[in-house]
Amino acid sequence: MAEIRDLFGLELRVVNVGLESFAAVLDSLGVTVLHVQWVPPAGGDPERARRLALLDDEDGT
Amino acid sequence: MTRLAPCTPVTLAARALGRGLAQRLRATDRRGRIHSAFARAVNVEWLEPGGGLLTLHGPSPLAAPFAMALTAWPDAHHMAAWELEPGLPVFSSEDRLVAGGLEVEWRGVPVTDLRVTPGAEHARATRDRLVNALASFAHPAGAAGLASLAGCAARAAAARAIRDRDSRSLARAARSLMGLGEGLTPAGDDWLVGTLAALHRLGQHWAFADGHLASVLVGEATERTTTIGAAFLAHALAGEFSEPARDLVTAESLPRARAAAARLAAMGATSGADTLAGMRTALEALGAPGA
Amino acid sequence: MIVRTLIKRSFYQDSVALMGVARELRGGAGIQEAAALMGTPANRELMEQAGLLTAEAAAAGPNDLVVVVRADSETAADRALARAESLLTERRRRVEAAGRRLPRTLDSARRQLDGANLALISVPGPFAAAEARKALHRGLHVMLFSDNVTLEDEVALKRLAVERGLLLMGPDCGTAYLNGVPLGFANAVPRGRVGLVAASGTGLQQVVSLLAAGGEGVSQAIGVGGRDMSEPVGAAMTLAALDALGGDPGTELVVVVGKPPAPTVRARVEARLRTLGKPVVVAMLGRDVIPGRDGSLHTVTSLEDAAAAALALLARREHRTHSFAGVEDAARRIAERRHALAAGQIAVHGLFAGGTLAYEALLILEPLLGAVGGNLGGSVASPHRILDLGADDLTRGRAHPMLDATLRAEEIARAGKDPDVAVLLVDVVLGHGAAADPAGDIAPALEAAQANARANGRRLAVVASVVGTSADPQGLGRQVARLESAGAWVLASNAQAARAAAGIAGGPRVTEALLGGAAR
Repeated sequence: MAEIRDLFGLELRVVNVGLESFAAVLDSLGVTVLHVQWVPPAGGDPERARRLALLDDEDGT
Repeated sequence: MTRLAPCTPVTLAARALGRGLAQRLRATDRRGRIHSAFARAVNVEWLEPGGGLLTLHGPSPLAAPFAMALTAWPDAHHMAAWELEPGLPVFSSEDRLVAGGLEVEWRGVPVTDLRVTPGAEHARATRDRLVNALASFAHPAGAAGLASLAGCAARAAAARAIRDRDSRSLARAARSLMGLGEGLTPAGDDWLVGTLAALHRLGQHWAFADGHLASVLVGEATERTTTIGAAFLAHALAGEFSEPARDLVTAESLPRARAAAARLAAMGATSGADTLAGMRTALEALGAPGA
Repeated sequence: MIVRTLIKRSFYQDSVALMGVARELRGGAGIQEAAALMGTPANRELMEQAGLLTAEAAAAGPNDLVVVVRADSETAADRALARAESLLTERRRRVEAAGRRLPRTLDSARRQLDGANLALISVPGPFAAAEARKALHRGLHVMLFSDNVTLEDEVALKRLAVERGLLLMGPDCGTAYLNGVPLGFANAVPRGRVGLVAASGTGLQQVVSLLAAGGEGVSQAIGVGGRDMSEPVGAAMTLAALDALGGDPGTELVVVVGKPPAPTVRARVEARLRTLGKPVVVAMLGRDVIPGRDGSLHTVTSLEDAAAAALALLARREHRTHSFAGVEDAARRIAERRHALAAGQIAVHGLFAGGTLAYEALLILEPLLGAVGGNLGGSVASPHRILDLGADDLTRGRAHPMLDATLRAEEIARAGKDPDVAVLLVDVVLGHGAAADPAGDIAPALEAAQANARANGRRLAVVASVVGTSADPQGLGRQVARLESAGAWVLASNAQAARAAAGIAGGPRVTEALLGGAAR
């Protein structure tokens, strides 16, 4: 069973979704980070986005 | 290959640089080129023979005696847009530098004294404090070169030479350590920088007076080690170090020394640890009766 | 046995990258030995010893990168060198790609970044929960910086995270340290033996900065969000984090930072703390907390004491609480400043960038000065005021005070004109992500306010603390110096600064209480 502790000791490989400055800081520290040019999904409607995300769950991934 | 459209050129302010670097930059206009560019730092090589290096990096302690820390650092996007690429020209004049689309202003920036000279207190007290502070850091550092047969033999020879206050033997050992091991600055060079910091701080003039070390570390640098390693060694020979190394060796209390040692140990992949290891060997060897 | 070489002339990759290449090559199928070294004479000798000195390697110069592999077969050697080539150019490509073809979704990011294991999410609140859910479903740990996430979403997200054995740090988690990497607004501190679980960002920053000052460091610091220990969330992430730290050999001692848990949650948390098998320092700041030791649990009442207790425990020393680092010096400075006050100057005005720092100051001031007003829910009818300038209603439409000093400068000016104000109390928070020169940003306002007071026959005392380390981009020493040159008395911690402010404004009886109760 996977545990939080499994993360300890691994190289962090970060996906940054949101403020670009966070990714810039991590990159300047030599941390592997990829910044996502995030745009609001579902045309900017939070309620639609939430419903889409729930559909996502049902994939069982 | 498509290039990004260049961003508007930007001016960044410097926030710190070493006194030696400031003097050299002010002395004359210079031309250079970008030697290498990494996520966190850019190295500039000056074109005149023996011109040396300049390292630009973000607002952290000066990582080299020839470093200039800026108040901010471009993110990955801008590194490409500002064309901070190897081979591109760099100009330095009075108190400003131009590299690609980046202008650096360093007028009025406080200069940091990165020289290590003997302190006011007795050398024994300094030595004991530093030995104490470094006690928890392991011999040797992680890099394979220092741990090889040749590396071990050379380090042992250096330790003996320091114990015996024999500058000729020290120079010979240094020759075997220069350029040895992994890294863009080879581990052996970092190790030697550590020993030199200790020798300068404890006023060991015997090591420098007769020029044997200089003829190896500077005279033979071009064929024995990388450009960056050579720059660190030349500055170390002259008593100039990075801020973390200087902080450690000039720390005036044990807690400060310990904290500085931890900071130095965290530098680079193994570079800081290698420097600490060299420092520690020199300090221990100097403890033996000799002078 | 095949030995093959790849030479990159005048090629400069940093040491981390080079060592990564060597390590990865050695692990390749059919590879007996591999090296990635600069072509210096000393390294060429090493290669010769290892049977790796080919003719090309022998001809390389000190500024050339030499990659050599010894393999079972041509194919294995070819594959390894191709891998080396791609690794060596990957970094350059990543720098370029970052500007050109950034992914627009979490999923396309995961395709580009193999082995991604953490999603750092700071998109607006209404969308943040959906992004976090996506990340958890794809097996990523999550740091959720966004606030404005509903309680209902928080409960569901944490349930999902716990099921999958993943972290969900937040919502509203601004600071964390994982595997030595500072995340969000975080100070540069060394790696060390102390693990932390924090419901507060600036609270965590204060504790780890003081640990670093004491020569110790952080193994892991897990943020759990401010509501984790409420009843609906039931301390889900706190308990999971404690389990992780309990089983982590790198963590010798645990510090918990936050506010007192909901009554129904308290017992569960305490039980887990006791069975951790490691000493625990509990800094859950609130009005009725009683400090003391109970088995392996050490309860403290300030962030400073949390760090001090941790340091003492690790050094197997006894821990004593002190009001000030240098008691005589503090007494003298307090008296100086108090005597210089004009009649009517009685109030402390605290202007804080850190919410927990503001709250800690409030908890210290109240018993000494009586009711304290401001925006932390205190009484209105009091001359004393503590303002958390990062509170939601104050940051609407403007940047947070950790980044932008405009609002704080305005408030400082106002305090300078207010004849009741005796002491201005401020925090300055350093670290990655914070402003480039926070002390410099408020120094002019501090100077002007003091000058204004003086011009009107008053003396305004300025008391400050700086949360940070000398390794921070802003440099602790430089920031302290800047504040001092602007006339501030800078103390080593937020708690000491609050006490100093109380002493100056409160009069001799308060000072006596502070200094008399020095050792508890």
